[in-house]
Amino acid sequence: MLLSERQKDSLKEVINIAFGRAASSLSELTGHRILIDVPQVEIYAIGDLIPTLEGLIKDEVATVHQIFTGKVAGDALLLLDYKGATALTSLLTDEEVETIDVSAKEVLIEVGNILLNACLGTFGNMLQVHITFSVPRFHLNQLGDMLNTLVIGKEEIRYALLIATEFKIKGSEIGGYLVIVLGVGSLDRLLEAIEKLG
Amino acid sequence: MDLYKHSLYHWVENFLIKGVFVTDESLKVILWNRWLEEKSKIPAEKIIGKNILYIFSEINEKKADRYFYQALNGQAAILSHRFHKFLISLPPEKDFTNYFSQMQQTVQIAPLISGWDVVGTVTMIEDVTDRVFREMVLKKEAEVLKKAEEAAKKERDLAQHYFNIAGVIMLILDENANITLINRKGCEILGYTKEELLGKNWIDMFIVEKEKEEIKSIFGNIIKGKIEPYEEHENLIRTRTHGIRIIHWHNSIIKDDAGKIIGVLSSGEDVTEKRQLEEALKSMAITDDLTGLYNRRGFLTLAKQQLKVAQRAGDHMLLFFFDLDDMKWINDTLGHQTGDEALKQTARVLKETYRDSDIVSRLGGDEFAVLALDAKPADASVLLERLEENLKSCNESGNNGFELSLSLGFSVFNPDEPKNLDELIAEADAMMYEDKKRKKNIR
Repeated sequence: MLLSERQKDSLKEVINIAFGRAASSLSELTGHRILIDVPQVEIYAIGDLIPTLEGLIKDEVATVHQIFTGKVAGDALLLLDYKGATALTSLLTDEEVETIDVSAKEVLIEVGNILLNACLGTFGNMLQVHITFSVPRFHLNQLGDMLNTLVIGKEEIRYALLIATEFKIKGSEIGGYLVIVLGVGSLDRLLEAIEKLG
Repeated sequence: MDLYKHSLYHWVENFLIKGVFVTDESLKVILWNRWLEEKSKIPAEKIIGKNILYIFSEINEKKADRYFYQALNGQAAILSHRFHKFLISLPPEKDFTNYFSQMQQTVQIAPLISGWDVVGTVTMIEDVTDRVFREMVLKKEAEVLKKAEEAAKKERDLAQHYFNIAGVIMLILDENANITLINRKGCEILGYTKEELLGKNWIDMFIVEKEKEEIKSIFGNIIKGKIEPYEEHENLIRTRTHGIRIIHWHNSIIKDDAGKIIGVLSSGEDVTEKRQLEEALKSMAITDDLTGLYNRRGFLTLAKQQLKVAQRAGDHMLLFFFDLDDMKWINDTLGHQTGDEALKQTARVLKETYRDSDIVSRLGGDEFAVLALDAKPADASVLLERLEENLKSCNESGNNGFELSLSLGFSVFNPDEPKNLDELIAEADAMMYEDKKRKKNIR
């Protein structure tokens, strides 16, 4: 809603490049051909993000969460619903995974890490600022609880870049969401950089 | 603050039960904690100052060096056990040497930051061998369990199949005689759907009125364990679509794991038509099951026929009537089996006495009749003498606890003055009655 069609297209292109890199990393890791689509990009004020996402993911959500710091700071999240998380783990490991045990959790963290690093790394290059990332963490809880931790106690007005993704592995498609929460200053810089690309 | 930093550093170096090593920007080791010293058998002083990628060539071989370069670029990474197995080659705990040649690891590689700048890398190695082993065992157990479950399900499905295609009623009643399971054939005979039957009371719904109370009490006693159910029995049930049917049941009780009786499993064959046929055959029979002689029907039919033949041929015939003495006493005192034996011996004696062509019969109860063909009135005494002898030898050879004795009477068929069968019987019967009365008076 905050993006023009032109901005959206440019952003999609950038993310496509990032996801291409992430997909080839995942393919190398798992030995399967993996494609990651970028069908949808949108920017929301964080207050609007929660109802939007709650409409998309019900009940429990598996989250890989990475904090990034530097001149641009924020939170990067990979969100999968429980079924999607187990299905993705099954496809990547060639084992039937029904519950998210410690090993499944580690697999999801690594996958999330690769995706988020690829995305943030590309943005960092575009913005020409150095960003450092924390070690990713994994949460399994209600979506609302998860997102509230990002909002509470943050003074700056924050925006969220929502990217709906689709993993295509072995003829299966598993949907997930990438959320990058940025401060207003960081967002402006990102949009500026995108304008230059366009 | 320095003190805090110092003590944290000291703790990571000496007490953390994970492997931690720190490198500078050129990947030269600047910290190698005690855990790593112990696991790798490389003391810190031998490794500090050396490039981590040179010391452990497996990092390059596994293409894991890129994670260190990424870290120098500010990106933290996690290397899950599932995809990487291990980062540096360390021996597993001795409990696991049979299963793994390397310690299984999950590794975090993060940038070491000072202010805004990356000044090196921090690597943390977690030993997950024990966990991986336990997951492996669990998975194997789950597989075995799944296989067992599949086999059990197959067996269940097969049993269900047999249950349904069985040509007999198969029925399980709970302790209150409510239907808990019934097969297709059962539904068909009773004329209800399975849904209409489940949970309904068997006795109330299907047992005919006059047997209800009795069966209720028998069923109650079976459930209480007071009596064993009849392995087989027959009763009448009232169906919706096929009227009253005769069902031949096989029963067995069902117990729970604790041995408590919780119901009865019955299979029931509809024998209505079979029984009707047997009845019909019985009514057509001309011989007596017990003795093998002609029965009343056989005697009357054949005798009438012979009367006509004799009249045309001008032959005389003799009709003898016998009554086994003291039959009631034998039955009451020695039992019905002995009574049956007495009847069989009588039949044998009569067969021995008369010719094969004569019509020897048991009219019912202890009454016998013989029609001796082509016999003159004078032959009567000869025949009765022979009978007397045969009876005597039978009584002498037998050890029965009773003595065979017959009251008798006879009548003569004269072709010149033919009488009908009823008249002949009445005449012989009257004479026999006299004989019996005479014997009683003597006694």
